Amino acid sequence: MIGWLLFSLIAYGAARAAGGSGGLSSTLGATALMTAPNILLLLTIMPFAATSGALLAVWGLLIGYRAIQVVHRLPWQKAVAVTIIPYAAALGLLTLMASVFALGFTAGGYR
Amino acid sequence: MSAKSYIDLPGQRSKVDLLHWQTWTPTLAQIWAACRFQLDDALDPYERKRVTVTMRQGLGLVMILGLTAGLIPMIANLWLAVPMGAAVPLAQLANGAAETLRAFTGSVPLDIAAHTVQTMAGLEPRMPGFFAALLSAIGMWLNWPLTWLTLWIVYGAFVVGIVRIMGAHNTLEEYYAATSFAAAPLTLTGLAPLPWIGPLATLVGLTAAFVLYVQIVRYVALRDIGRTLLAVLAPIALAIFLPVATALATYLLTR
Repeated sequence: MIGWLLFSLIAYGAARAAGGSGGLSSTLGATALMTAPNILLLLTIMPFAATSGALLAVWGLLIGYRAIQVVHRLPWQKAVAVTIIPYAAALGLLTLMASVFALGFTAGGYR
Repeated sequence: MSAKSYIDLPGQRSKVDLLHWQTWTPTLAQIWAACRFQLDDALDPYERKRVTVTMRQGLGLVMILGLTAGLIPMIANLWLAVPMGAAVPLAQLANGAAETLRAFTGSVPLDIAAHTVQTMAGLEPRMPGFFAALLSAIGMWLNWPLTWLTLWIVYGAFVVGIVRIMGAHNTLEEYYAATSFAAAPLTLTGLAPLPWIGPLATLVGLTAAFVLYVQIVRYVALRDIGRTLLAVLAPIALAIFLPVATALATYLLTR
């Protein structure tokens, strides 16, 4: 839920900045479909059946790309960039948090 | 308007009959045409000069063929696990240990390891042994279409990205719908448990699937065989190069 909201809001801002024309509600609605491949997790009820994380991530990303492209009527290059921006932002945030933790740990330890 | 009509009337959307099997898979004639590398008949049977197969049909095709290919391995797994009354991976482990023991007699450490594995396989499972064997065999059967789906979507995403950069204009849906046909020859890999014929069928299936994939990418996205081969091989090369480079870098840094 939080991931979907964050992705949608960041992607919406990026898409508007890139010249997109879609609204926030349609962006939220279309990007919600990114979670659709997770239905495959139902199969993992059976022992030893496993759904690949890469499949869910990449399929979700592709759906997100199409959602942004269709809702904001963007050319494919801009749609790819807009789709990647939320992931890049999350990666940047994680790196920042890890760096802050590493800095604090190096400076003062756990005390 | 009929769901089978290909005339688009303005303001009218054709209804999709979700319960009709053809909504979820292409026809057998199309699958057979793909196996014979006749891509016009497979991807554009109505001669509309574009790919008329849908991604929904492609998804159904991959799932059904994956399940079909997994049938013989599932029977082989049941054959092995049911008499032992153990889950399939444990039964396979015990079987492998027995074969190793037969091949290398007299090695004490190997003997200990093999007997430990066989004892583990013989432990009473939480549920009745038959159900443990049956459910684990079904679970491993479901892994066939799931693995094929992963290969189709993840590998396809890399290739479609490269062909787009190379200037192709196909849509994502067209690309995935068309490349799903590469699963047809891959069905031969399901014959792997059969003695003698199994390895040959696997080799033929893998080779035919790769050649068909290249032909489909060429048909759908790029007309040039050189660039098509580059687009198809680049993700494979990257998948091999990256772990090797990472391992080498780790070795050099920690030496």
